[in-house]
Amino acid sequence: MDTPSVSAHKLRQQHPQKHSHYKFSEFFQFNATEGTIADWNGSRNIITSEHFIIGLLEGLEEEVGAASAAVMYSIGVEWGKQDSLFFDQWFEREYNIRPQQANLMFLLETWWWPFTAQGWGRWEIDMTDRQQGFMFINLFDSAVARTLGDVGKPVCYLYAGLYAGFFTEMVRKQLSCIEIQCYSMGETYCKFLLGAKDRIDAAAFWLNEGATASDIENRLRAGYTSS
Amino acid sequence: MTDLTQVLDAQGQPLSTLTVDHFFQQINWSGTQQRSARENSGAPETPYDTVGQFFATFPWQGATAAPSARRLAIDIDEAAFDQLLAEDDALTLDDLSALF
Repeated sequence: MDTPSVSAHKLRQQHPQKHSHYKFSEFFQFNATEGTIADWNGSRNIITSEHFIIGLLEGLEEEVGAASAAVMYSIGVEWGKQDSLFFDQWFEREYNIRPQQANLMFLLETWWWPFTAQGWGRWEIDMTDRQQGFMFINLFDSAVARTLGDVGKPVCYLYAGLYAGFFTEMVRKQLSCIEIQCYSMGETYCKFLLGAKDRIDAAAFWLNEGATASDIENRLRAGYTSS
Repeated sequence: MTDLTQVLDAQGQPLSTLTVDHFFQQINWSGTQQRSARENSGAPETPYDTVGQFFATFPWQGATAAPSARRLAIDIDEAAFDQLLAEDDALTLDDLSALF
């Protein structure tokens, strides 16, 4: 997890133009005297165990019940919005180009690399259906799903919120996101659908009715947008 | 001519199980050793002439990523695939914004 920090990364100061800096020993800067960990972009990082993730999710569920999913999603949205502002700054500083002018796939891969380095998993963006106003994100090794294991339902609400918040800020359109397939449902990877609210609402309805990710993909491609 | 994707063992029989080592042993890394020269020298046939040819056969999607039906159709139609790649390369945030 990372939080804003004032700690500057000494290696980055020495090599400001170095882009391949995701090796563990380079990306993180351990400050033993202060007891802090800063990453390449100046965020303060906290190392947590799987017990922390379980405690967070189960504690929240005990407090607010089924609403814990919405709470986690909302936390993710705020996180994504804040991170897009933070990303705007460090991307331009590192590459001397504004995000709006950059190649989209390069931009998005650059955004996610720190997350991969921090242990949030690898991703793959599927924009095949972008002309229809939606896209898919495949997430491998979700920290949340990997921790909870096979519980028979989607659990990565934090990620869904993160993607919704980040893309909403970046494209300046109100977007929503839903996880339509999860490692915690026994699948091999997690799959998220990102798009306008009406499409995501429809997908949520179909998912509740027992539709699979494949069913949802087919219905969206066929042009169904209402439940 | 030998099938480009077929790797043979020391006895010249097709291997049923391939390892990364097998692949890398078959690559003519420099690309300077031409097929005709190899054939004339009597050296064993190698399946890949260049590194690019080798990587073109690699399953980049991985075993876990299931390609969409449309993606599969595009994979079959080479021209459509090239067009999609060109479109992807030219996309910016503003283009993405216009799609939603």
